[in-house]
Amino acid sequence: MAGLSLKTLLSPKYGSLPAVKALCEASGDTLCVVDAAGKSLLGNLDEHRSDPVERVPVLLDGLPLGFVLGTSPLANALAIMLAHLASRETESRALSSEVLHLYREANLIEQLSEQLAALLDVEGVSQCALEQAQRIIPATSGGVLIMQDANSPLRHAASFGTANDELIDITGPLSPASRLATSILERGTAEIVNDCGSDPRASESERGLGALICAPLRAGQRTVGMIVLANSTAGASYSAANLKLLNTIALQTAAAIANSLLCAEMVQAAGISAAFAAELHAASTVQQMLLQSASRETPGFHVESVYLPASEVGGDFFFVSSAPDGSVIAIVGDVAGKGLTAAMRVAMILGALRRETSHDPGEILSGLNNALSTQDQLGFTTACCIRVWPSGDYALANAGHIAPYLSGRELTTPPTLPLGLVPAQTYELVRGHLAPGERLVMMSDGVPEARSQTGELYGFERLAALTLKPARDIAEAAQNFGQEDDITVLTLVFAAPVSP
Amino acid sequence: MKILIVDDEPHLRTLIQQTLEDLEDDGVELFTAANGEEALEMIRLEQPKLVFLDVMMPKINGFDVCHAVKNELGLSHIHIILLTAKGQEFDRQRGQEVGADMYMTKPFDPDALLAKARSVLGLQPAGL
Repeated sequence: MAGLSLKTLLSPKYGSLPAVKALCEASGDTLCVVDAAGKSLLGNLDEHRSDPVERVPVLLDGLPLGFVLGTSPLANALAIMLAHLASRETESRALSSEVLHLYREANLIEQLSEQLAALLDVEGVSQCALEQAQRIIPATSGGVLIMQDANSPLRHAASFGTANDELIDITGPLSPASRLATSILERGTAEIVNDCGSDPRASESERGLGALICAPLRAGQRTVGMIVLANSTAGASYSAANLKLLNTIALQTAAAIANSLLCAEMVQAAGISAAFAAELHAASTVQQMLLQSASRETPGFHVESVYLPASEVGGDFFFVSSAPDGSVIAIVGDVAGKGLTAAMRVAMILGALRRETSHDPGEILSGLNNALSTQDQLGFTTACCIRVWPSGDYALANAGHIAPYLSGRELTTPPTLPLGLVPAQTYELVRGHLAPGERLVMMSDGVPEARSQTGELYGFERLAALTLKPARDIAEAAQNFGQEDDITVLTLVFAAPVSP
Repeated sequence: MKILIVDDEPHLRTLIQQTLEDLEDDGVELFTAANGEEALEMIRLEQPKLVFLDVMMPKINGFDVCHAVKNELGLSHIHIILLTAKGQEFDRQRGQEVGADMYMTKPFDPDALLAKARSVLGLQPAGL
């Protein structure tokens, strides 16, 4: 904005011209206004006048804007009035300048907000902030340094400019390892260093930066980095107003950067979650396939099995095989724990059962116990195994599992440790006989431990009657009551004795 | 080349005038008007190349002035930029109907205002 001149003050666009003109005319053309160079601006002096002509300066801040030529009292009065008008006009222009400056700032901040709202990458946000900062704060170089998280080192996200008349490196005026940068970050407040050359924290290369202004990027309690501007122009310095502006920019930038970092984390987490979900789904498919092939039809027996895992993969298992003598062998078990770890152990157990050559329930459980006991930190597994001969005779062994039900009655089995805790265990056989049409039910604890929304357990009292129903009905009754754990039900109905 | 600034608020006229003062070095003359009637009179008389025209004015508002200039006075070549206060719902459709060339919101961005004036008048951007 140009400085005020007497010519400008007397131009038609200012309202004072008619008044000054009228005064000159009223004086009878005895007054004339000239600029500092003596060029006439207003009025004409009568060349033939006899009165002495005075040259009265029109002063603004002690400096003459021009002169009023004329006789003493009138020339003095007009000079004083013009000086007053000039002073008022200067004040008005200063006020206007201040308002325009505020307009400029308000618009820049608004633009910055709009631009930042549309950005979700740290580099884009940093570049945008730096460009806007450069528009309102004089700088020859600048940069934005970012911390990925509280424990990460600073890294550059955007930079511009030159320092010491050379193109700055990609890290901007301050490098991520700068002591000056670290010190400002630790203090957590914006700072002006108007003489980097004498600041003990500045490195050799930073001493040539001249004036420096820096604000930490704080989003809530978290500091995500800093924005820094430097001006290596001779005599340049930063003011408190500059600091306030940079702080305002830093506040908006910090929120946008925190959002960008959060967004990046969420995208990464979503990717991991999707990959994990795919793996879990694959594991579930494999487990279903393993369990589907774990049941073999045996003449004279009707075996039904239902498996309802509580999540994608479960820790229950069952296995049905037959012996050369026509007997059927069934085992139902429950691996402690849940998720993929339990599912892996189920796969291991099913593999071991497929390789098992013995058909004796006690030996089968001992073999499994020995296999599981060699696996450190795998926890325990409960299982119950039964062999039923074509005659209807049966023998069963139990390793800490729920005892089977026969025609609605719980069979008594001796107390034993679950599998995988102590090696070289033996499992006592319980013998009995199945009449034709009798239903033997084996299940996991997911059935009696089903829990309603009010917290009530399904319990053993209701279980006895339930075991008179088919496997699907038993499993679904427990599930509908309130599934808390994997549910496995296996029913074995003895059709009729087979003649040898 | 002439620019007319029309606003019923004196301080806004001053601010716009001061923003555009740099153009005087390029021979641009600045005029002001305090209402719609005065604006139409100045436009007829001075035929400015560019008019910054406030929308909300008593008696004759900016839309009516714009419509008259563009459609009734045969001065459709005059570039008219409507000025509307931020927060007021600006009727874009009405602005287009009356033939306004563009609109800017108040508080205006001084840099954008000056740049626009330079562009309309065919002057070099500042600093070149």
